[in-house]
Amino acid sequence: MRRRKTVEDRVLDSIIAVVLVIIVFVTVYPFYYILLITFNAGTDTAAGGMYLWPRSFTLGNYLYFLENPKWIKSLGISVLRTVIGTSLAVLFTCLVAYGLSKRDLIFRRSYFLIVIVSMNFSGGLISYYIVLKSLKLINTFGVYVIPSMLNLFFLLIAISFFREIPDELGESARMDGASEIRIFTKIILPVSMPLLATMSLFLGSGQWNSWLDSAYFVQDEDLRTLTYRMMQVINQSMVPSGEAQMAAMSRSSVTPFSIQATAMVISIVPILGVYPFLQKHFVSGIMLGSVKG
Amino acid sequence: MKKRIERITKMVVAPLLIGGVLAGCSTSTDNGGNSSVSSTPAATKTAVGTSENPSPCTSPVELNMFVDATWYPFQEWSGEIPEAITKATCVKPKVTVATDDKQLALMTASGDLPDIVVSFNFKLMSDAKLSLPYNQIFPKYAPDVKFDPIKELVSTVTDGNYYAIRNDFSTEAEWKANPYAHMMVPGLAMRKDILEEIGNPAIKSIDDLNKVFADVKAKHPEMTPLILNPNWLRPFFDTQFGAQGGFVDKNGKIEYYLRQDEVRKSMLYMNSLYRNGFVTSENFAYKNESETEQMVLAGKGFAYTWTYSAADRLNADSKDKNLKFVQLAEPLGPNASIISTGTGGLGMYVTKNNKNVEATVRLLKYLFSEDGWRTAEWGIKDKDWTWNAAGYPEFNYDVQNIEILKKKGVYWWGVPTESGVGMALGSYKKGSETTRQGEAYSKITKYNPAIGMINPDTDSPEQIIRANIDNMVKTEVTKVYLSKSEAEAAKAYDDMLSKAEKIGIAKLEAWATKQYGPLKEKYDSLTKAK
Repeated sequence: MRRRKTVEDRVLDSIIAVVLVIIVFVTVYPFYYILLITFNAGTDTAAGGMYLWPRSFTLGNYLYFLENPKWIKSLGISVLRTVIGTSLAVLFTCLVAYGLSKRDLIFRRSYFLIVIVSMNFSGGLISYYIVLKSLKLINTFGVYVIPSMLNLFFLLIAISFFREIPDELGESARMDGASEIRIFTKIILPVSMPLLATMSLFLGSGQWNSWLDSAYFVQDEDLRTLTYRMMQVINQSMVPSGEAQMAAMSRSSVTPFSIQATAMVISIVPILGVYPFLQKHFVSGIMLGSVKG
Repeated sequence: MKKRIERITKMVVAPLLIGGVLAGCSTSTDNGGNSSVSSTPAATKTAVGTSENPSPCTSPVELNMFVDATWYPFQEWSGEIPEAITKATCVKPKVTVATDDKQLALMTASGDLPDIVVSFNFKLMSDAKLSLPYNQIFPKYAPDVKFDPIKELVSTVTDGNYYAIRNDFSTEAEWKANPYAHMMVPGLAMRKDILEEIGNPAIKSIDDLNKVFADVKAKHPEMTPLILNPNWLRPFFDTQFGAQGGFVDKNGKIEYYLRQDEVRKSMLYMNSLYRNGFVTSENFAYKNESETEQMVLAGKGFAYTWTYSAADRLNADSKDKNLKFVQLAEPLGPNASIISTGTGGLGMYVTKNNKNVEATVRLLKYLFSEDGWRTAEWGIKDKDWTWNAAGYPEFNYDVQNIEILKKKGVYWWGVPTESGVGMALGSYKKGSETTRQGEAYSKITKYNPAIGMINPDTDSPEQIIRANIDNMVKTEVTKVYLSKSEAEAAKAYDDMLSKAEKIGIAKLEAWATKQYGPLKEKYDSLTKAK
């Protein structure tokens, strides 16, 4: 039986609704404003006073990025590295985590020590570069996917996740003669969807947005990523006036600010596209290990 | 149990092994130029004849060229002009432009250097461990090339070698010999329509300028009288007070700029601009000059600090807005002065990893020659530009349109070897606002590159002191600008000076004075010999 709302209930509901609307507005509006900037002439945006609709609609900001034919190839590289890099990283990290989640694993403490030390200490860029060079990874596609195959942060999360899966699941399969690999792929992974979704989202967005490896470890133009090209465009839009008198910006309507906003939109679009499909797993995945029981 | 442990151990070890195998299997197409220095021509032997007897170039030598400037507008060696350079030298650079300012440091630390590095980082690259000295490779491969002794001097480092002849530097004699070349100076552009509205007053002093700002503020309260370009906040006013940056010669002794009374006056003047409401406090938080330019073009300001080309560039950028800008071309009073201490900027460094020094020197020889840099920077003679007998080029294309420059591949590959005069001649345009100010300011410009040669070594105590003082000023100077009263601004300035004392300004000056004596002596002897 529904209780009739009292005046107090209505007042409280109204206050909650107003507060929630304000929260939604301050969360969503910055995104919307950035999107607005990308569809408005940069020169017009700089004049200020635009809040709801593009005042001088243009696709020029997007065309500025896409006018170079190399972009399509770079898009392919970015998609490829995101798909391959994320799949490999998720699979490999889970594989290692599954082994390390077993309490009776021999040398377990030593493995953990390696993980903890490498999480907290880094050799720095130069030694990292030299390691990649010795592994013959410089200037190859492998440099995008192989170094990131084992993610230590997610390794720890995955270990705690696998430990929460009842041993009986694996035991019954083992009694039926299943190998460890079979147990891992057929039983453990299917029940680990929240973990896989969370890892895929984070590692995938990391792969998509990464540009430093393309800048530092690759010289081959055919291997450049989309984000590297975006960085190039952003950099080129900031010619210091003191360096050369004739380096005027082209007479287009773009400005460095509108270019940066467009780069931001291009970089978050794939994540926005994937997120709704992963969201239900993601919510439970992000809570992993938060409750000890 | 034992079996189980064995299985699980395998589970952990197997992936690690797979990872190792995957890493090992990757193929490398690294062509980073790791070969040792070689004076023999590359395998693809090319013969380039003399200019009198040219022989066709069938397969140009490919050299890796790294441009250490993230903003560099040209990303590749393409277009009509690069093709002409390749035809003349039989060299084709393969260009990589930095995407991050730490890239060059990584290359030098890992030893993975390309054949040529184009960089502003004179201190880093002028090192026998990284680069080959010009004074060794030119006599060997191009003995007929003779650089100006002053240009050699200003690029010579402590080991007695010079590893580049940096761009944008010309000797005083060169400037004097080219009356149409005007060095770039800081400038102030103003809205012509508003000037007319307030009666076109003569602006001959700082007081006159203040009066104009006050009139504009009264007539247009919705407008900011002055917008400051974040990269050119104070230089225009420094010039009017006769203030210099960096090291300053005071009767043969070196003082750091912060001690100068002229600098103090200039900073306190900036504060007065804020207190009078001529500039906004937000202006000091802007970082991007194109945003401030757009504000000016959107009609939010009356005057704008930039370079001597400010008015011309604003006029070009506001064609559709019906705005007209003029330059405040005349210096404001007898104290205005400019001491040019520059010793150049970009250098083309031939690295120790260079796989074909002979071809590299051939390319450099061409780019440093008058024909070469004019082709690279201005285009094909008599087609893209013609030489006015008076002594300056006249262009047949819009030199300010980056799209045209990109299509032709003109200008930006001439920049690394351009001289100061060469760059300035390219911006000469009879009757333009830029030229009007250039002519006026050439009269108050003096030259002393010996000061620019005082460069503490990276990580030396003097360099650390200088960096600490500069960082301190960066954070403290806003207190001076935004003080509520003149007394408060003066106190903030004095506090800044006493902080500089604590950091070690006196030690820095003593060291610089010691360096300066011999450098000045050498420079003077060369200028007198000319």
